[in-house]
Amino acid sequence: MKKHKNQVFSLKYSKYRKKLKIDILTTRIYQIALLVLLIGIWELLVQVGVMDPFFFSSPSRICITFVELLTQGNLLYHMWITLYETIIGFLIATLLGTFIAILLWWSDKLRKVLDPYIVVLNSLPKIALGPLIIIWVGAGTSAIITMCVLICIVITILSMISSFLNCDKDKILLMKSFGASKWQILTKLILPNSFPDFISVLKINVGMSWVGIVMGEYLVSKAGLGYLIVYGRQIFKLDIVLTSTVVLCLLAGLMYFFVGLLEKKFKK
Amino acid sequence: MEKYLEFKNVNFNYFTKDAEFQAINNLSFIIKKGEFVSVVGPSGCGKTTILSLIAGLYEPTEGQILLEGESVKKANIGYMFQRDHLFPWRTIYKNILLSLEIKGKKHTDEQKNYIDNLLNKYGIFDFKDKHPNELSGGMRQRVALIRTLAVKPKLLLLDEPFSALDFQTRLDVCDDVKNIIKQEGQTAILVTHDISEAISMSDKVFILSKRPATLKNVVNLEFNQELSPLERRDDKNFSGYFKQIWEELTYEKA
Repeated sequence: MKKHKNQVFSLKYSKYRKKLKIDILTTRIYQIALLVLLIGIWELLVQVGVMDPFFFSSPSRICITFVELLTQGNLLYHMWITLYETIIGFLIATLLGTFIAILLWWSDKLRKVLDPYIVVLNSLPKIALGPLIIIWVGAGTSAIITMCVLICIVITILSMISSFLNCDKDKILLMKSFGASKWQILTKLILPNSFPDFISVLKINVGMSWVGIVMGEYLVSKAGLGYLIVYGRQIFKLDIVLTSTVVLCLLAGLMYFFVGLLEKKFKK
Repeated sequence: MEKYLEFKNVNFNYFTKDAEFQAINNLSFIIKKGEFVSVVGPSGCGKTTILSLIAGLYEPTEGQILLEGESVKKANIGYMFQRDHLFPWRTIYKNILLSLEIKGKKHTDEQKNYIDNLLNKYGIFDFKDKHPNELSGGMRQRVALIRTLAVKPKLLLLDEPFSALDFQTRLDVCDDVKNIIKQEGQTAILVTHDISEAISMSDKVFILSKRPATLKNVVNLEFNQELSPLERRDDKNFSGYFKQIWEELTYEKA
């Protein structure tokens, strides 16, 4: 669409554009209002004594705890640990998963042989492997990251292989009619063709990798937001539990936002 | 008569899990250099299979397919599909270079000049840095043809290349493509289910029987060489040919 500056719109079209703008604006206003309302009701109910702050904390207490944890409790350190683990887990799962999907695309035989194993691995609740992981890789960061990779990698493999196999048969024939080798078909057609699906996988993995890391941190950790949540529950300080949860929400949202930026950059 | 492409008693069977089908039965024909041949036949008779055999994507079960006396397996053959299959992540120019890239040929100045020349001649040059989604369907199909021609194929295979276009565009692109093929002196085989298209574009029409396909008849089309496909449709001979081919196909189905 070409943009014309100083273009004169018809009255009806101007009205239509105005309506569109108002629609976007009101949606934003409602979104913010809803958030303010929920927080307000929560605070109010705690203040008037309907909800016990011991069990439910409150927005004001969360703010205070947040500042306390920042100044006295190494909150930044815990945030960094979790963020760092998540990014490592996310990267390993995405890259390794895509690589395995490429191998499965390359060899039909391998794909057919491994198909039932992947299906089982996909339906298996990965947390069941937690104790084994701890024994195998040791109780520490590596166990947490392994947990995360296990959770993300299966869905990555399944999404990417189905994307690779979905490539238009005629496009492959076209490549073959030019005499393309399998490697050329992979690099010049299959991979770029699956790029939009790869971005979708990134988006899914952002969410999944947080699940994996926090789950791992519940099982075994000495630091991180998951650790803070478990710790807060053990000493029955719901303020710490809820503050950590809110911080987790913010970090996950931020990471999703960056993947969104990446997507926009490549979509143009 | 000089042979260019030759089918020698070609048989082709294909297999599914449950059965074996004979797709092509003892097919023999000769095409001369520079000829434009259309292949028509009842749907499902194996027209596209013939193109795949020529392109070396399948091997005949029996018989030989020769191009200039040698097996087509390694020959340089251009294939054009129903849809343009331009890669959306490449610019028009990069799309056209695709075939050269795959053949591993370094882009010599001579080849660049040849491609630039094609782009100029057929009105694509101004669009070469655009992406495919910015071009109309007819324009994209023209780019697809130039991509195929960029490696100077010995033979051009067209698999209903206009069927995805709307009728108006289709007539235009037909004229364009025929013009380009004629100017470049290409030998071409067009597979189509559209009898009018076959008559308007080619020198000869091969009529195939229903499966297993065998050559039923060859209609030599005699038109003034200067006529474009669109003008042929108005020629006095057009309806006669149409009737003849239509009757043979209808009789075949019965």
